[in-house]
Amino acid sequence: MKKKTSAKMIKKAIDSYPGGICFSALDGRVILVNEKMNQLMLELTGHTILNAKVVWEELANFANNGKAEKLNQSWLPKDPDNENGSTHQQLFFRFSDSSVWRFELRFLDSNTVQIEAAEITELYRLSEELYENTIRLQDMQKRQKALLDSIVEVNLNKEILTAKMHIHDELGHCLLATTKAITEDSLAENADTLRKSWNSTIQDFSNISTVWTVPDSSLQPELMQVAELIGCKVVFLGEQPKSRKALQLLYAAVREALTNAVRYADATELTVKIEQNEKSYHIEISNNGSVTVSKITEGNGLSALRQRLEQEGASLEVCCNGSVSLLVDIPFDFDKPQKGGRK
Amino acid sequence: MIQVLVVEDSRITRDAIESQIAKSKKYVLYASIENAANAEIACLRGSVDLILMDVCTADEESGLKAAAKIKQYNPKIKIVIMTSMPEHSFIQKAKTCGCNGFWYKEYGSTALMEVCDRVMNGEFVYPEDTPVIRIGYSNSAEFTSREFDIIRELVQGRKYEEIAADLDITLNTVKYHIKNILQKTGYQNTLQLVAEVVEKRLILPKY
Repeated sequence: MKKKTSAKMIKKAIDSYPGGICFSALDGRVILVNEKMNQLMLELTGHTILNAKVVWEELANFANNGKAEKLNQSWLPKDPDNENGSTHQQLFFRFSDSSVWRFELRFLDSNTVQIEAAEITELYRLSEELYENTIRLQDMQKRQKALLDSIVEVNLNKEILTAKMHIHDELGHCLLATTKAITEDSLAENADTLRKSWNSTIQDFSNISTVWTVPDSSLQPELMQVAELIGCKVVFLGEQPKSRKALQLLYAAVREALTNAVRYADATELTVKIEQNEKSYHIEISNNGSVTVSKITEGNGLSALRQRLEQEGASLEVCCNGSVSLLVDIPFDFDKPQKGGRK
Repeated sequence: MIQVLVVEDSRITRDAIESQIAKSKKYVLYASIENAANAEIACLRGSVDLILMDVCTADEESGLKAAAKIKQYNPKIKIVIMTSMPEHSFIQKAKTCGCNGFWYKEYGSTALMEVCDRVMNGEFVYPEDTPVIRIGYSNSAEFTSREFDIIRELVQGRKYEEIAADLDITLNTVKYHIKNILQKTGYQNTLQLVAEVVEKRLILPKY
């Protein structure tokens, strides 16, 4: 059975819609508007919709009037497909009863515009909660990263504490044993044992630095120490980089060159020549090895060094000209002095 | 005499170890350094018999990586790995590198010099297990090896999709494991889990 839909029925239907809705022509002439929309507009602008285009402009330039406030937070639940407002525009308002409404203007076709108002109080509350949680998690993530970066240092301090506790225990044990021997008048009988205990504790004391100092942050002394130990002198010519990162890369290259020079060429001297141009440090590492080489196959060590350097924006070239030398370029970008000796 | 190379960045621990070596009649100190990356060089021409190698050394150089390199060229040198970190993968990594012993500085009852003696007698001396660490309502012994893989990936900041690709499993399997881990530990999210795991030093991805 066919039933004819009258204009009155359409009006009644959209009036029963829980949100606000308004259809208008492009110039703003209202075609159809429901009661809820007019109620909301009355609260916001003090009048019902006469011209949709004008009313939307009023909403866009809305100044808080005591009955409602316009919301501008970055985390408002906007349509993710409409980031720059290309297909439709959205405005958010909180009314005096704390309800939050989203007004959305859409061009339905070349002649019709729709303004829709939907209550999003719960969605707004959840978005606010989500935003706060995101901020909290970002903060936690920052703290966790800082912890990860300093975990070795934290552990070092823990080890120091453990060592100090050990000394404390040993000292306490000696003192107690001695006190006991004196009170029990058995000092002579236990003299040997006590002397051994005290000697051991005192030796621990003299060997262990009582004041903790941060280890020497310079990379050079230890490398020179081990190079000397294996009978290979390392000579540095030119100014070394200042940043820790660049120094770490330089010394990684020197270590690899030193290892290969001693292992394969029986070298006794390694020369590290450092020059600078406008953009980077240019480093040439050569040795006085006795072996003549015309070509080399890169093993694990050189490949790993190349990978490490390239990851950081530096470069490596292996030059075989009788002997093997490494040419390393480290950009100045690293050369920003960092805080603290240990990273 | 057995020549010992000590690689340890904590000066106080290094001094304590040097002191024990000095007291011993069998061992003599060859060198004492704080950066594991220099250990391979120290072994090039020297006559090192035993290395006492810390895992986390100066400049974030890994003692385990250095041990692997040294063993590749000098398999006869005995290496004892030392650590105070309860990181669950260190023992397995040390075994894979061919290290001869493993000593926890803070856990266990075996003295370092006893481990050295046994290692020099040809034994492989390893603790039975990693120290058990409390993580939320659970403890580290309750995690499966796959769950450890997932936590390790999370610690490295990987997204779920990346974890799935890295471990060659589906996204749903990743979510399933994470749900189980969170249920076991009682944490509300993975960030809390990661913070705890790192703070307790159960997973240290750099080493």
